[in-house]
Amino acid sequence: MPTYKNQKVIFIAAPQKFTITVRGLLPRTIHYAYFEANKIDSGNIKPVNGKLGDDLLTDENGQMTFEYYYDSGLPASASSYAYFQELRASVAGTKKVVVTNINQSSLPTNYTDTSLSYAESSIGIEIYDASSSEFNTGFSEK
Amino acid sequence: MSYSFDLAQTFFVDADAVKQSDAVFITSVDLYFYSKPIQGNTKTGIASPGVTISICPVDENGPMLESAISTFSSRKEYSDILVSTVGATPTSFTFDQPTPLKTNTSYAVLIQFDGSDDDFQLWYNKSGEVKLGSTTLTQTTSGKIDGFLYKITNGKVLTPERDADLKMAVKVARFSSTNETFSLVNDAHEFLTTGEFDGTFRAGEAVYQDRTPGTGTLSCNTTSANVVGSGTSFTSTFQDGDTIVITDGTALNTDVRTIVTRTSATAMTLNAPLSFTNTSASYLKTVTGFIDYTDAITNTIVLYGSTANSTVYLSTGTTLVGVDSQASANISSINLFEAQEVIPSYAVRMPAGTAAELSVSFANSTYGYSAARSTAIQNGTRYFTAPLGSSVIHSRSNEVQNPGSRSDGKSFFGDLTFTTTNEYVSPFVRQENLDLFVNRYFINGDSSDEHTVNGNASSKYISSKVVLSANQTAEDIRVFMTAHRPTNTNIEVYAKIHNSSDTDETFASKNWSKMELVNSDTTYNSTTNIRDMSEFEYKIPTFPLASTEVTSGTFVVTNGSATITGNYSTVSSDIAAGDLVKIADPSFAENYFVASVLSANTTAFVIEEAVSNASLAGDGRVVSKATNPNDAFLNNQNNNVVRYFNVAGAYYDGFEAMSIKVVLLTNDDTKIPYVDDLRAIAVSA
Repeated sequence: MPTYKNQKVIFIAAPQKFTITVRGLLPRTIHYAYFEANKIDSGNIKPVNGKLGDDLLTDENGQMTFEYYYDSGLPASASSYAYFQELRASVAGTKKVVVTNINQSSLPTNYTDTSLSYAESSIGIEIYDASSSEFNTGFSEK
Repeated sequence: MSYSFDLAQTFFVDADAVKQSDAVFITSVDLYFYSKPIQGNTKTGIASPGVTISICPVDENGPMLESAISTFSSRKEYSDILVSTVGATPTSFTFDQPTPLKTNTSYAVLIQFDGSDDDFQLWYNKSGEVKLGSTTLTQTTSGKIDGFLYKITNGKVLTPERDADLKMAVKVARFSSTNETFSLVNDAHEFLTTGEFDGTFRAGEAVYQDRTPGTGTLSCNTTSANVVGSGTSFTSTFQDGDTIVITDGTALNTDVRTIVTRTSATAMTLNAPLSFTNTSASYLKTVTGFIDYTDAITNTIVLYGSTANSTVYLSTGTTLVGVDSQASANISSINLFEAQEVIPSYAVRMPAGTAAELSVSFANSTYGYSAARSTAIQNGTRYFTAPLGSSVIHSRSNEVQNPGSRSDGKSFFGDLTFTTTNEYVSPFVRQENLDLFVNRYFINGDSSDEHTVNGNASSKYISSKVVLSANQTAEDIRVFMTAHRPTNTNIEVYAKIHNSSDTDETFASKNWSKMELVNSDTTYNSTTNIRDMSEFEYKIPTFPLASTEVTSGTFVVTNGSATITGNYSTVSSDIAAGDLVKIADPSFAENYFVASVLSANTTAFVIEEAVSNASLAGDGRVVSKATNPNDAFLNNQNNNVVRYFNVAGAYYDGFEAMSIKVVLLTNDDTKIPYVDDLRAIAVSA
């Protein structure tokens, strides 16, 4: 009996920075950002003109802009294909970002009802160039 | 995109009104406000709420809110929103770039009030009500296609107000020229090799070149963009628009700012307040940029947005520092990027009656320029290829020191020319979609040792290990691919197979067996059309492709005997134990068998089992020897079931685990093969 296997290339997201502007939030209120329902560590957040780790505080008009340093966690030196597979969660694509006044490690599913103030959107996480040269560096047997 | 709107008004784009153009470009939308919230005393708590509008398509259910064209929006802050109690004063929402819409199609203007504050009220026309300033009753049907007003609750739920329309005006562009040329240049990149990184840079973070601080100190704080110097010479040291790095030496207390104006030698205004307060901070006049790419293995850093100029530029021996990561690296060389392939991805839309053409030129490695090359825009198509060194992007720090014939020193320049025959339409592209991919190939033409786990090819793809289902021993592999293979290039395919009974070797330690191209080896694709592809099929060969024929003499085969006797006396010089040999009747190409050699002496060699085929017996037989005796082959003595001999000399028929390796090769700087899709099938023989 023939057995068929179709190989697929997995596109791992590259480290990248996003500048995110939010309007219409509760004024003068600390908010928290969630990436795919997980709270973004403050060490990866920087209010524009502020410092890394500063609170995300809306201005008097309920606006704020911050920078988000995204990193899939895949080290450039990764050479194990198995390790690579474990990081499939870092596949590039469209990801959901939510900003809310709720401060928890993960976003509650009913955040739209329980937030005093929230906004949501999506961002496109881009990829490493999935060319053979990149795979050769990271994932081949060499 | 996230969507949360409060009102929507549909409208129809009538081609009759624009000389039958296929598309129009909205430049602005005028809305008429009756009222707005009281500043500082709003019901939402937002001190100065603004209004944002966007455009979305319409289907049979009304405005498609989730399809709002996020990149085409316009916003007015509170102070810019004009109100009129007689509906006479428009507030014009102008788009940064004209918004292209198809004609003979309905769209909707979406309106979002900050905080959904219903103290924002717009003038509208409701059927049956008295028209403002008259005694006439209004009507809402005025054109060939009616528009509708929708109220939106919870940002998403549409409620039609079918007897009402907003008072608004949608304005479209009318072009005064039939052709226009835009000049494009490369971004200010720095391609750097450094010493070992101290810390980890973060993608996108600002970095600066460490330098001796400027003379004097300055006082700064977190609330004002004005800084005051002490012992400084701001006026002579800087120009308006320069970047400045300010630090107090404390971790994370380092900011990159832009100088808006220099008021005096001791006072200037920045583009934003600092993130820290200090009365005696240091400042640097230096190069800044942003991390585009880093590789801690090769100590490579690529920056974008470099501020290098003819007086301040990066140099070797200096240090780059990350503002947020505080990582650092010493610059050891400032490099260039060699373009071997250019693919414009300008996402240029060309409605009927329009055209676009691109002309590009690159610097060469000595800061001269190639002749411009022109072509009609074909998005995603390879534009040209170039031998190494003939087309390069220099680091900005080298560009500013070697401007060549261009005053800005840019390595790349391109002219994008739009033409049209209809004043209402034009080719269009958004600035952020003006992507030009400049590729460099990491590929060579050397596939030596690719049968091992350490081949010499630069470019290869290795599939994951596939383990077949239990009791599903496969007997052959076929690999199919749709690929582009121009002349002077090649695509080699290797298979790694493992039989579960083979305990002498693990799958990982197995060598690769080169597969045979079933197609004609003369099938080559266009060298100019990268989308010209062919279907290629590969199979396990009947004898390893890498082999040599023994030319010292011929051999005698006896049916029922494992001894193969030579007609010369130096057989052991050609054949040795462990060799994989093919013994063939030269008169009949299909009359052969493959065997492993157990031993050899000067006159004969012994194979692993006696010959059991009378048609193979006889003299004058020719022997070929595989270069890699562990390569797999289709065994014609066993229904073409794949066989391999392992390192211990044992043979195995069939396999349960497999992997595929595709090796891309070229002997030409300007041509590469590539694989569009790959299918591997493990089959019964």
